[in-house]
Amino acid sequence: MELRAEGLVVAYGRQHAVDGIDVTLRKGSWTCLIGPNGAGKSTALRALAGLVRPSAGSVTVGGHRPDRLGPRARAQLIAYVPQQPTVPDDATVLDYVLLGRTAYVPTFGVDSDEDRAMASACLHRLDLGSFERRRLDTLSGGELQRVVLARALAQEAPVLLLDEPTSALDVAHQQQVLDLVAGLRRDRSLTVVAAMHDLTLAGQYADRVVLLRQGRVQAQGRPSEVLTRDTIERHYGARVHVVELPDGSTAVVPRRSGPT
Amino acid sequence: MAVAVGRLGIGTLAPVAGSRIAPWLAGGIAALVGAVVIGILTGPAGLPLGGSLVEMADRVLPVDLDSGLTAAQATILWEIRVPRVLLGAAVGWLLAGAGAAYQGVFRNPLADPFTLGSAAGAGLGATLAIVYGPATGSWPLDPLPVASFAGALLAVAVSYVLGTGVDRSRSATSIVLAGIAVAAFFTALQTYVQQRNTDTVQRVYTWLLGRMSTATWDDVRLVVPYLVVCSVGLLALRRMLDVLRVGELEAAALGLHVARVRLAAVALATLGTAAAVSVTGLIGFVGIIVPHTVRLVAGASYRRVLPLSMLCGGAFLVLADVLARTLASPAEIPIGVVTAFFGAPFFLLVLRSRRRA
Repeated sequence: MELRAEGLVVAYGRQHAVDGIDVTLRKGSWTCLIGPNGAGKSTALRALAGLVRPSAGSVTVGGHRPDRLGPRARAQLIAYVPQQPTVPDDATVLDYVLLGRTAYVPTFGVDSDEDRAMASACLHRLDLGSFERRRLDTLSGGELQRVVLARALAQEAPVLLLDEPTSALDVAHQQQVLDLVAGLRRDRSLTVVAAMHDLTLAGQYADRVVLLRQGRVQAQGRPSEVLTRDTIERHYGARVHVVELPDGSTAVVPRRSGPT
Repeated sequence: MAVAVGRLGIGTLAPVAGSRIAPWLAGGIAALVGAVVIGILTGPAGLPLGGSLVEMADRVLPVDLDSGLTAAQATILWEIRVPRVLLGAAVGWLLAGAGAAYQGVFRNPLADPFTLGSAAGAGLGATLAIVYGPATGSWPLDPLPVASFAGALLAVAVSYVLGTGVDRSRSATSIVLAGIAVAAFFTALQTYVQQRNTDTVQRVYTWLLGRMSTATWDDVRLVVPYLVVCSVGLLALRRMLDVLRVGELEAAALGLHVARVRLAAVALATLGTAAAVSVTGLIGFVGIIVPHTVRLVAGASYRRVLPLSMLCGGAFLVLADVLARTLASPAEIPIGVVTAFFGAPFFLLVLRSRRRA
């Protein structure tokens, strides 16, 4: 499902967290939002999710404006995973994933057998089938991130928005989670947008990168077009090496200053 | 049986059995029934168990039974004990259910049924009725419960309107803060009126501490409709309160209409609280201790917390009232004193044992 932002502005008082974003993300694409801290990535993601009303401009998802949809219709269209999901410690994994079915459960009802089967299927899809009865406070960071992903998957939404999905994970679990997202995107033609700090991972997984700074799009295009030494040094104020890897993807490596 | 699932083709799987709630409910019902029986049989006029049960069956069922109780015993049973115990159960049920709902909606463990100023509003209403109202019995309708009911609703309505108007995000925190301000304002007014009319201080103070000694069938009949509406409504919101446990932003992203759920839960809980305080005055502690004890023992899902809080709240207040009327017999200890005096150590005990576990 295509996702489009036109002249998107989100202002908090006089502060423009997002200041005129124009992007078109086609169905089945994976876009990474990158940019230095405070660039407006998280706010932009919330505005794309319809959770923050634009001060100006618009977001459309498959022709719908998510900020004008009711919460149920919106949740059937867009699944959003925040940077630090709130986790009710004593909930079981299955009960937590069932929260993803909220948009399908009748207003005053409870989860049906079909909802339970769907939540269970999502857990199996992410190799968490044996975790159903585990309490969330017994999981490791990597397991928890997969469970959160399973909850988003249970929403059956064609658009998946992830805010820093790998920030708390070690390298193996970063890989595991992003591989899972890549697999899901391929299986179901999901449109994925992820805010990422790790530029190498962004370059490896995204087919499009949008660089934000001060709420504005500074550069966008294929990873190899955006992840250049000049662009990164200019917008991040960092010194980096940009290396092309044998598979054609781009790695961004920090470069220390001064003698070693 | 396998069920086909998923519009995005996730697959087929057998349905999974839900977490079992029935044993917990059975335990809660047993606790309430047990407390009610103890409440009815305990008191200075010793009533026999068998005779009391037969007498109650005779009154309730369309059959003519001989209980063997004397006329005086039968009157004590039916006109004093039974309405008092049922009122205690209803008020405990309402306050504990309302407390659980407030804690869920505001995601605040310190929230109780009086968080948005209903106690202060009811207190002001009751004080005005006692100070300026007509002498008891001169009106067809006792103004005290009406005034305290109206005061509670007014305070919460003002808190809610001010709190949601404070900022564009209409967050739960700003509503709670508005509630604190409104409660302080109403309490100031109540204290002022009370100090200007010192001859009624004793009556006002007695009301503020809560009392069940004057319970009648009329009180029970007054509270029951609110109990039904409040319980059915709040139980219908149980899954939504579970969704709210992940925070307002995530709950909205999952498809919950956060503002509507919050308004519905606050309205229902406030209605129940106002009905309870209008007949028994302010009984503290039930609305905060009972839901937290239930959480510690049975888990924090509102599918368990709400019904079990209602059942256990009823049982708790009936037993607290038994202590209130027997410990210093023939005098009575204010019920609010008993709920805090016994409730607090009990809660700390549960907290300690669960943390160790």
